[in-house]
Amino acid sequence: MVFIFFLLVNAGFAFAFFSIRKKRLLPIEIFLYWCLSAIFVQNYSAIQTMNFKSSINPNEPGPEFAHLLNRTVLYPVLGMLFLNSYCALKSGRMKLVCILSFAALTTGIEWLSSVLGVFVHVWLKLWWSAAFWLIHNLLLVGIMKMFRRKLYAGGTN
Amino acid sequence: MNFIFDKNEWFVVVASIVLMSYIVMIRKHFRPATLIILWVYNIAFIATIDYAIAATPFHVYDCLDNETYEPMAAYAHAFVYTPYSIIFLYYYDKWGIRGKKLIWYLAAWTCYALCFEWISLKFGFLTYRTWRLYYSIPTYPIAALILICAYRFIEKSLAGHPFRSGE
Repeated sequence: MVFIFFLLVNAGFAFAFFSIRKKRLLPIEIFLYWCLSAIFVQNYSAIQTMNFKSSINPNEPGPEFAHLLNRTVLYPVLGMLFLNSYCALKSGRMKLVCILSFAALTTGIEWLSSVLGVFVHVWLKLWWSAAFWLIHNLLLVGIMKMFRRKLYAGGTN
Repeated sequence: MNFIFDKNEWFVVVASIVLMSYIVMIRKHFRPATLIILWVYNIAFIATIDYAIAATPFHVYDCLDNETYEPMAAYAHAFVYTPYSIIFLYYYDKWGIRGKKLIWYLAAWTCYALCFEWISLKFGFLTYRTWRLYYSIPTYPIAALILICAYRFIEKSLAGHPFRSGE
């Protein structure tokens, strides 16, 4: 049941991103940032569940496959939605609001996955998750800026 | 975390030094951007597969000393498995591997990868729970074909952009 729920959530956000007609990201950028986001999320999840034991992923197929789906599709696609929105904004203040809003949204989804028994927080504090998603978003923005500088400036930087 | 530096860690370090030295020699074959994107893609792909198979949801083997996520596993993702993929693509390009030749090329690399996996087992880098060496036979060619598709996509996407080659 929980797997079906997260399957629909994943499909919904993926559809929301891929149905944007005028994307602000090139296909190669989507590929790169998706991979980067998946690396960040999987390392975060692996360290929390396997080393610190601050969270657990219950040993049942539903939550385990839901978590696999979330860490490879849902969180990266939220990262892409965030970068797409970030690129569409002009003012620095709105960009800041965008960074904070998406960090809050992703923290909310992680909290939901904890409540529904997928990535259950044992002693992981919610503000640690919020801090992680904020750093995740800032890293994506920093890497996007570096990559674009290289992409559009002829590789001289 | 129970991190001990013993023979399996030395195995990873020695393998990475050999492979990275090879990458330094062949790196100019690729655009710098291609190399970076391929590197990121490979780490993401390997981390995803490794996490899924070694941890949740499949739990079929352990990587290194125990079931925790050790720093050396992340190091191996970046500096052992990824260089293999780059070397695979280097000869794929250099020898113009297409059509029937691709089947032989994939077969040869699968044999090589199986040998490396067997050596990894001997050094305790991998410890099987329910996985068997022959399960890996179909996985290597599939992973290699996905890698070729990713490489073609990267090259096609970057073709119109003014990266300096050989930088």
